[in-house]
Amino acid sequence: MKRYLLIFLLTAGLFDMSRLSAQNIRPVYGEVRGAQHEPITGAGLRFALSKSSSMTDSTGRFTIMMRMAADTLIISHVGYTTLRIPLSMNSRLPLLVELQPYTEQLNEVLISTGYQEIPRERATGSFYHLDKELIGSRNTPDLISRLNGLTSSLLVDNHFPAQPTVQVRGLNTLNYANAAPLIVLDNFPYAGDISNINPNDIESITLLKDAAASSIWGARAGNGVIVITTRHARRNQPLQVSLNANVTIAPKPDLFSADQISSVSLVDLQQYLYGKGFYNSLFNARTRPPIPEVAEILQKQAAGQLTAAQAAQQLSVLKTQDVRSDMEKYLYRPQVNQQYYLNLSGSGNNIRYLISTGYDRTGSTLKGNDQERLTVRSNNLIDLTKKWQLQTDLILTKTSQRANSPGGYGQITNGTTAISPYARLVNPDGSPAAVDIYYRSFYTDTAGAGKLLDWKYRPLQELASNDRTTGVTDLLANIGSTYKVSNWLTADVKYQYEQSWSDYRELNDLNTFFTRNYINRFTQINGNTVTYIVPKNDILNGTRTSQRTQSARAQLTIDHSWADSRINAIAGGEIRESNSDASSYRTYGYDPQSLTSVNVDYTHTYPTYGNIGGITYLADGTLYKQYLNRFVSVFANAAYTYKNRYTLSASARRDASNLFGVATNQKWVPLWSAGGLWRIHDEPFYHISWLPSLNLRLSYGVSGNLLPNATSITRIQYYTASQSPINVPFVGVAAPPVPQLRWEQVHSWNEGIDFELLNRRISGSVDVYQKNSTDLMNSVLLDPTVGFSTYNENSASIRSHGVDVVLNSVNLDGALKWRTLLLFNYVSYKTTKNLNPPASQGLVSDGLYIFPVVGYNPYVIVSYRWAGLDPQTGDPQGYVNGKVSKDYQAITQNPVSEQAISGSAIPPVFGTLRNNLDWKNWSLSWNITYRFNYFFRRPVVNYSDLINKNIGYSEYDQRWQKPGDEAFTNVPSFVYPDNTLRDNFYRYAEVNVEKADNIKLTDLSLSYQWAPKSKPLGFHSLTFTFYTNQMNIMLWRANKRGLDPDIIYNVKPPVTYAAGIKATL
Amino acid sequence: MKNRKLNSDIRHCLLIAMVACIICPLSSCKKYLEAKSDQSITTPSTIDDLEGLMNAYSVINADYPSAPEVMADNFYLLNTDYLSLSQRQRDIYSWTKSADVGGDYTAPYQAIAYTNIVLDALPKVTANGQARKDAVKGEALFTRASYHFALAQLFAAAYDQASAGTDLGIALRLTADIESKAPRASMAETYASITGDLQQALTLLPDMPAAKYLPGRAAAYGMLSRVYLAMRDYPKAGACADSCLTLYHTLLDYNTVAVSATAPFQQFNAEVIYDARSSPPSSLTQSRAKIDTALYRSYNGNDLRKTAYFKANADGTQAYKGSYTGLTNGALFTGIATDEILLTKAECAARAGKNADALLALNTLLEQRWKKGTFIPYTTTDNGQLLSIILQERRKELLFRGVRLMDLKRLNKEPDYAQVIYRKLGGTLLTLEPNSPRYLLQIDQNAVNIGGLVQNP
Repeated sequence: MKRYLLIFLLTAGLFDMSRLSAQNIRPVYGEVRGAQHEPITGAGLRFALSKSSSMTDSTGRFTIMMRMAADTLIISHVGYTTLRIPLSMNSRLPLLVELQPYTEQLNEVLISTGYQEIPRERATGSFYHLDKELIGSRNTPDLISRLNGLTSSLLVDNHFPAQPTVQVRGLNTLNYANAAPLIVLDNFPYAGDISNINPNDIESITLLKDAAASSIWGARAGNGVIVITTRHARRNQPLQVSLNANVTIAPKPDLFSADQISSVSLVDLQQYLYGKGFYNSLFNARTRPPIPEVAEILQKQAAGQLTAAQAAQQLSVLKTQDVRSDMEKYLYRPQVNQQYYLNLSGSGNNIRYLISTGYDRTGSTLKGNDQERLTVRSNNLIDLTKKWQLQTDLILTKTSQRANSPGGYGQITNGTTAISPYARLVNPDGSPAAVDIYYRSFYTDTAGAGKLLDWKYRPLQELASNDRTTGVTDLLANIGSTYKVSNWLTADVKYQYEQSWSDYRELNDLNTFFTRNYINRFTQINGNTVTYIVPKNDILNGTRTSQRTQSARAQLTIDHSWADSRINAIAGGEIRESNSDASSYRTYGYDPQSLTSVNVDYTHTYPTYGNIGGITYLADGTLYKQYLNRFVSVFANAAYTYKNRYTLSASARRDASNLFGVATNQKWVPLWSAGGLWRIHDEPFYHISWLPSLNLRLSYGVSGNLLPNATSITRIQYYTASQSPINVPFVGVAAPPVPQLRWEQVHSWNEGIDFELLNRRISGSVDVYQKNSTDLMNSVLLDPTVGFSTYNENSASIRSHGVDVVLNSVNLDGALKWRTLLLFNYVSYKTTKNLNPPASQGLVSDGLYIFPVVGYNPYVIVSYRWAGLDPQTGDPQGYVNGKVSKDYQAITQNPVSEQAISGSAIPPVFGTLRNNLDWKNWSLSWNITYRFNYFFRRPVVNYSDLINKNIGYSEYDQRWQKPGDEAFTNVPSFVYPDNTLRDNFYRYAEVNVEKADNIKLTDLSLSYQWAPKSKPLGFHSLTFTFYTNQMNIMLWRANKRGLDPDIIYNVKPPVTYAAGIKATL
Repeated sequence: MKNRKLNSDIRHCLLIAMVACIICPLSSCKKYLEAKSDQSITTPSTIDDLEGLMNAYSVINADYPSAPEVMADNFYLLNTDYLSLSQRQRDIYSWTKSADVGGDYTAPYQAIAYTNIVLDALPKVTANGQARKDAVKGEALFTRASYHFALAQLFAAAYDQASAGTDLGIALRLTADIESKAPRASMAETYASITGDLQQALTLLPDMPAAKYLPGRAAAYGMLSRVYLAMRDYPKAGACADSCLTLYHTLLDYNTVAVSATAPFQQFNAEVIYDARSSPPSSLTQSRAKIDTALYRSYNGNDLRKTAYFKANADGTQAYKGSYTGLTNGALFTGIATDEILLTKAECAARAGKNADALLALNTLLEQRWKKGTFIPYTTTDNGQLLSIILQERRKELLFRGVRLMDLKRLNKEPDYAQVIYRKLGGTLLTLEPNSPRYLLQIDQNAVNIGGLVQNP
């Protein structure tokens, strides 16, 4: 290294002088050695300008003719960092060159596709690489939230917060469940739950964006591929120990950030409804449905059980209650997460090893819920001989989860009836209060005259009694062997075995509503005799699943260079099988002390108590499922590089799978891609000094997407007797046949440039792409006369185009270092074909679900045009044939061309601005995300939901009440009887669509690294980091209502604060 | 040195062989890839599969339309209850043109699709002995005919011999191929298909099946007699009723039934020949549907049906609880039972002028319906009076069985028995005139738009 520096200084110093002399030819000779002073054979040498080239011999020596007064000698070899040495005629000879092994610690980036590692400088495809620093910039326990906003062209769609989905370069399928990118862990698709992976174990993540990058994954690459590379042991590294610990705290969420109708308004409304007789049919209903407390009070008053004054007093109490305060107080708590991680790695003569263990305890703001995860990993690389290497990797993950909360805000429902906004969870004496979401309290108060079990549902009693746990054990074992057949040929065999067991167990004791209710429903009372059809003890429910995946791959890798050429190719085959089993059980009369249970009769019907549920069989919770997926693939990928300037690549893959069962005709689908790379800056004519690096990339290819639920023939499914109303096993038609079934295909073009400018202070890439996704499976409406209302067939296409920009800049490079990363993504897509379009008349949508209308984005928000409120009645008005109308039936038949079309509910423009400041030992980084040009539909009051399900919003108070109100409100008047069509018209009216554009500060981290020279405590360094996540601080937003478009349907998640320490020994 | 070279050559060969092993033998792939991806999912290919499809009770037996009762005159709704219903239920009850008929159109055709899947798959299925195949084929034909018939009651006018060749019937689905189109057939074709399927089923089914959710020949004769009755082909209806009763004629003696129980009748009770039902519509729940007062008053105090079928609501109105489904959720029993067949027999005999036969059938039934010793058998010799009595008893026995609409429609074709029916809703009086187009529901919008079916007026 020192020697090289010396050469560099000498040559640099003489550089200017050498320009004066010209037309000299001089042989340059020297030696190329590695870090251990070993001679390097076959290293390529060439001059950047004169193009003369040479190679080192078996002793590492070389001679090359220098034909210009000043030129740059480029020395490269596989596995080593390419070196550029400016030379002049006066440079001192012999030249002693030391090449550094190619490792990621240097600035070279190796891109992993899961099949091979390609140096970025020869990659024709479009990749995005996240290094450890970016992955570590947040400390969230899961990977998806770490990728969110920090990955080019990746969008996390939070429409359904419990189930965020990931889009890479837009939407390529219409099948929501199959729109996720493929996740590859090291070498194989990861079948387990992504949350099993400890982010601390991850070295880097590569996103394969275009066809040239991803098509090696064939029929599973259509939605993009995310390749996760775990940390590996390194060569020549002494024992290194690092320890991470951090604690995250989140305060209770602010439930009052959720919009809700006021208790005062709701009580008044229900009082009005009572007067209209709305509840009359419910009072005597056989099923004893819950009735709002207001109606119960008024009914008691009518029956003379309460005086008018008492009733009025009780109603006024209800008006002061808000369920959110009780929920916040009794169901929520501040969340605490802990994360610990220990990593040991090192190497001996022939072995490299890495052992890590991590423990995460992730709390929840909901009392009763939490999760623990333990990961243990051992990674070894053993050099059996100089040419033969063995790799082993073992990851064991154990998670256990408790889910004992009865649910948070908006989650306590019986399916239709939600908890009343004026309910309380605690009685004045502090005991858990009953809420009526299953039955009327008037009924449960007296039913059975004391002979039944308590029949009330109390959320806090549930919280105390629930015992629901899930335990998951996941074992992932990899074993691989690499044999270097010759200098240029390597053979690899890899095998992966993954087994995971998951055990969900729900012990419902006699305190839980579930068990009390079930026993009561089947209790038979005859005089003083009480017969329990369901044994009066606990009910144990459970589901066990196990999944086993085995993959094997054999692969030949060629890396050969001669003269100006270089070939890098792989070819191989792969076989993969994944088996899963699931079984569910239910045990009645379970006694956790003696571990006994009681047999029940599943074969006869029993009347339910008071005929509340008719006459039925006892539920038999037994269910078995078994799945088997098999894939067989062959693949090849080759790249040819000429003069290190031009690279051409091609790849092909064929896949087969048993997913199509009998439809063998479609099994072998060839998928391919081709790409080219031109390193313009290496051309002799290239002299743009401010742009020292410029590459051009071009690729085209086809990748696929498979849908497990399609079949070309009628598919039937067996059901067990317990699923039949007459207790007889039967067969159902699972799907009608799809005679012309094919796999979905994504054809994509990508053009990209990579550049470095202004002294390499700015670097980045711009990619422009076009995709045409064809043969997409789509639900097609059928004439229901054929027996099915819809079916899926390869009937649709999506065309998309977009731009990804990545810009890295070093703004300040002194004592204060300021770096910026700017990600800009634009993607626009629309449905171009839909064989059997959904009835174009009457289309309205929220953009929450895929709705493919030709010519529009599948997530388009379409609304009824709005003509204001009727000044006389407060009825909402729309248009029919261009005329203002209140004929809601006719309005629902309007063609799309007469609807108001807002645009996509998913942002087509999004990105991140990340800044890093480093000063001495301090480092500060923060992320600002932006999302533009999208829309959302505000949830609005729906009178039908309000009167039937207790769901309402505060805008109820702004409803039209008297003529003149229409000047300042769009909320229709309340009418009784309720008119569902009118409700729906308003819900889908254009006035409720808002622009969603926003800029947010999402997270921030500050760290201090202490690296004492003397190692007083045995540490190399100590890093203290402070993080805040989920900040969601709006720097700007387009909507005037103060709504955060990403969390409109839910309670705003609280900001989390974390502090961590990392020690390196 | 040479040895080492050899060794390494062997190693090379081994490695290449390993690669080759995995890539090459794709011929064995085929078998590997034919494994089922979901053990519970398959294609209909065995006799067990087909029997399983016919055992799908929820689809095959329990998806008959409920609209025939909702449209009929056996009950009424209070205005408040009416207003609490969904738009669709309100429209059906108030004889209003509803754009959205929903399950009453789609569910029967789903069941028909199941039967067509079975019928199309049958020729390729092997079974030990022809008996199982015959039985399944008979079941499928019976079910297809029954649902086609149920659809014809709702979506086509009453059968009229004179104009059946040109009157619009329903779309007949006779194949599982979802790409084949079926326009609406004429009434003559519709009923020819229905009776044809049932006649063929008669040649395949056992006399009485193992369980009452499966049809036998008795059920097929029973269904045929119902179909001929709707066609007002009384001689054939009577003959089929006779054939049915020859095979099965057990009646429940209501004196042995706990008539005051919440649900006095069991599913699959002795009187049931074939068990079938509708889904429970929200308009027919016990808390909403009030029994027509005149109808309720027409039951004698000694008539056990008055207690077995009805229960008093708090406000003095009556709710229905006498369903042979064994349920009290408002689901209609739409299957075949001995009582209906006896009444059909009585009516056909009376219409043929065989008063004695008619009286015998009627009295046999009513004997089992009244308190022991209280029933005085009918003895009238006036044929017209006898027919009126039979029709009145038919209404009293078969309410909430889904046949009232059919009876109203066919009798509206006979000036003597045609009647206007009324609904009172919050002060307005709605009327339904005989043979009004409002007796027909609207064809599903998607069937009209995509399938090109002709819409009803």
